[in-house]
Amino acid sequence: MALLQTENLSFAYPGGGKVLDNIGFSAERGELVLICGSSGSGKTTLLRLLKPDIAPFGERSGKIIYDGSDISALDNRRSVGEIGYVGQDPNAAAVTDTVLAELAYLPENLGLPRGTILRRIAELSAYFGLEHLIDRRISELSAGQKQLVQLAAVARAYLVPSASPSLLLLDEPTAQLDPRSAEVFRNIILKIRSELGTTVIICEHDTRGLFGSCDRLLYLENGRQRFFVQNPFVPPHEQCTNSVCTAARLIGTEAEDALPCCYRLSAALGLDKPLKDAAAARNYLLENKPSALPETKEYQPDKEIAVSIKNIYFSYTKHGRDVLAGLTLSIPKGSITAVFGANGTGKSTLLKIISGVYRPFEGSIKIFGKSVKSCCGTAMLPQDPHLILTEKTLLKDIKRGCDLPDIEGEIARLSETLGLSAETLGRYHYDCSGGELQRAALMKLLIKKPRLLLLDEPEKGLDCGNKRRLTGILKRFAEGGGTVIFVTHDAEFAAETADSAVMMFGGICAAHEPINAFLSEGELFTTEAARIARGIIPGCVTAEQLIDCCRRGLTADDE
Amino acid sequence: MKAFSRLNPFVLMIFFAAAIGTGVFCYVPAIRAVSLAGAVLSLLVSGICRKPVRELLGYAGIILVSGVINPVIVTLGNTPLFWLVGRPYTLEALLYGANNGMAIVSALLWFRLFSAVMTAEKLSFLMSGTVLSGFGTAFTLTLRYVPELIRRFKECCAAHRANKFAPAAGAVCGKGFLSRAAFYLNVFMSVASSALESSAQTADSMKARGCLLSPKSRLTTYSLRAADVLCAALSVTAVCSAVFASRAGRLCAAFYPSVKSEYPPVTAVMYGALCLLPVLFSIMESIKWHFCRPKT
Repeated sequence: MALLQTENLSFAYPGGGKVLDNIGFSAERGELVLICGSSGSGKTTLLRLLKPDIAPFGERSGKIIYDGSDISALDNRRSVGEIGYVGQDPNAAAVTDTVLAELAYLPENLGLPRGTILRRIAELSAYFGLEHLIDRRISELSAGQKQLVQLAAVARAYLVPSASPSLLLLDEPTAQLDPRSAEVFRNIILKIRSELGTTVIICEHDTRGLFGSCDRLLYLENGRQRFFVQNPFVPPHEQCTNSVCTAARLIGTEAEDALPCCYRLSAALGLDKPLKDAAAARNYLLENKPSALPETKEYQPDKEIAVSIKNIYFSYTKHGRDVLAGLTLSIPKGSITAVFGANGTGKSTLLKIISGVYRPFEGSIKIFGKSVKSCCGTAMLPQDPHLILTEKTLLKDIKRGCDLPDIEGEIARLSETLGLSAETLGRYHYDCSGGELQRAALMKLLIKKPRLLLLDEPEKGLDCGNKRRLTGILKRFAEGGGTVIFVTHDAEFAAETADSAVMMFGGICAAHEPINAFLSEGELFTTEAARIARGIIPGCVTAEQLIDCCRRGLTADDE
Repeated sequence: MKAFSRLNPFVLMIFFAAAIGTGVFCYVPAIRAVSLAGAVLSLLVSGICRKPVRELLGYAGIILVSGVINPVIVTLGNTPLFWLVGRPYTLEALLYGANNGMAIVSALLWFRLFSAVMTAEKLSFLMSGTVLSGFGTAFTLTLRYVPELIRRFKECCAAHRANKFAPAAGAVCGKGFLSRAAFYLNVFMSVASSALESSAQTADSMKARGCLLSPKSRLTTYSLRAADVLCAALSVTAVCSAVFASRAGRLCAAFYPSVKSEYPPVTAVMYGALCLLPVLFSIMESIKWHFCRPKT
């Protein structure tokens, strides 16, 4: 019998339409269920309905069966002890101030004896590698460490006997993490599933990390279940024979970009057996001889320089480490530049210096030939767009301080370009989805007609559809003569969007190359497609390019 | 400072109440000077101050400003130092101001030590099992939210400055005090909304982890050791001594028309010993460490 099962589950918030309609899926003990779908498809609402303590208020119909009985009849203590929930924002989820207190919070609330709590924390901290953090304050931890603490705080059923079922609900837990921390987090989840037998239900925009490891996959679209696949990797099955089939079902949906490149390739080529990893995909390419990339016009940077940085130094404290240590960089006008680098290498600091928030204590910086102070036309989108939105409606925010003669006409033009409806512009910024919020913040900046746009990890937390939309917006801005510099960890997004890439290391620019050359040569900061095609299809960095080359190669063979 | 922080939270609470309360409510300059000296020494040995000289100079500035400003407002006192626009600038008013400055600074320093020693977990322990247990959690969260609110406020201002939305750039709100005030108020309201959004998520996290369940247990327990008893006894005795001396009219001070102060030496000595307790614990800790550290 399944540990969790929903039957004809529908839900509507008070005074609103259905946000979930006729959802039916199940999860066995020790399974990993991946729920995907774009923003606003009902993933979070579904997850919260599975945890009675935080179930949203509204009209629910249909059944949720947990461990053989309806979940609404589940005792509070069992719900708290057996069903763990981790949300997107690790900062908001922390209740106490130290890691130890955070780990102790749940078992203390359950009234477990002190000895049991201590033993459990000792085991958990060793299992999650948190021993060195146990006395630290939560506020001192990185986002990845905070999220790991949140997971450890609810990871295992606390009720005795330990044989009681344990369910872990994770709502986009890696959305706010950098790729390295996200990978560590995903590995821990897989370890929990396989070693502790915990059932994991996880919502993710970016399914690349877990697609190959999930036992079941549920795809939601506008609150409806597009499909639910059981055992996608164990053929044969009545619904789907293998993962190629599952991947193929996602082709054409907004989740397509979030598929692992090897599965996308398998599905696109209609292979019987899936290419399960990059090595298998490389072998396939070596055997099947794909075509070379079609000749494209090589990227020619504009001769006019938008940003000229010469030998700048910057430190946050007088005697501290130089975050920027002799950085020299030139960004041509009309280009889109992606800035890569590990955490703490000075990427965000660089943007703040270009925008004039900080001043370097040595070196010079010119924006369109002028000093930062006297230059107008620089706009910066922070990582959290809420920071520049302060009014009651988005429209008020956009109009604030804008002295254009035809402001209404400009708003109408921009809202069409950015895909923002009048209804959305009338909303408060905390009532918008991630994509809407980001586009509205961009609109607030673009209405002032900037010439240089700086963006700090603009792709973070966005679903594939919104990432694609953002790529289009930035490309159009650059075509109009604007210059874009954005900091990113997402090589796939950069491959689609940027013309050139800058690699920061130790406060200097370690590399500044055209994006294709940069990603083709990179080992870690590169795309899956580039890893697969390295040395076989020169210059291939995106999944689309890879699929196209393979298709043309196959067609040539047939001919 | 580790040994002092390990004292029972109830005892620590009594200690801080006694040290701060006596220092603030007793007008006698000698008692306030003792409180200030104890607070400064305790803070120095605790290692909380990152830049002790600079910070202490700042606190000395508060005392100085308080002392200098009072005679401008109050002209009472027998000893005019000089005349300012036809009004006497008296020594007594200056001392009165400085005495109040000492009380403010010593209270600030004791509270700094309090926030370092009394972790949220200890405060929560103090209030657990009482009607105040919910208040304890709220207090813990508030302690966490204040620095978070300040951080977010700074981030928000920086984001506006980067886009020339801030009045300092003169682009949107124009220059002038009122436009700046309106801008900062607007940013503050936005940051407050963000805090409310965040607190709704925290509330969900608390509910999901059983904050409404009972009975609860505690991971951390604090026993009552000899050092706790000694510290509590000294705190209570020092306060009682000050209260009795005050009731008997032997603990008093007056600044106008001339400075007069009276205090029993035993009260001053006991209060001095109380204020130096954190330092004594640190010295004991150092001695123990010296003899017990692993020899290599």
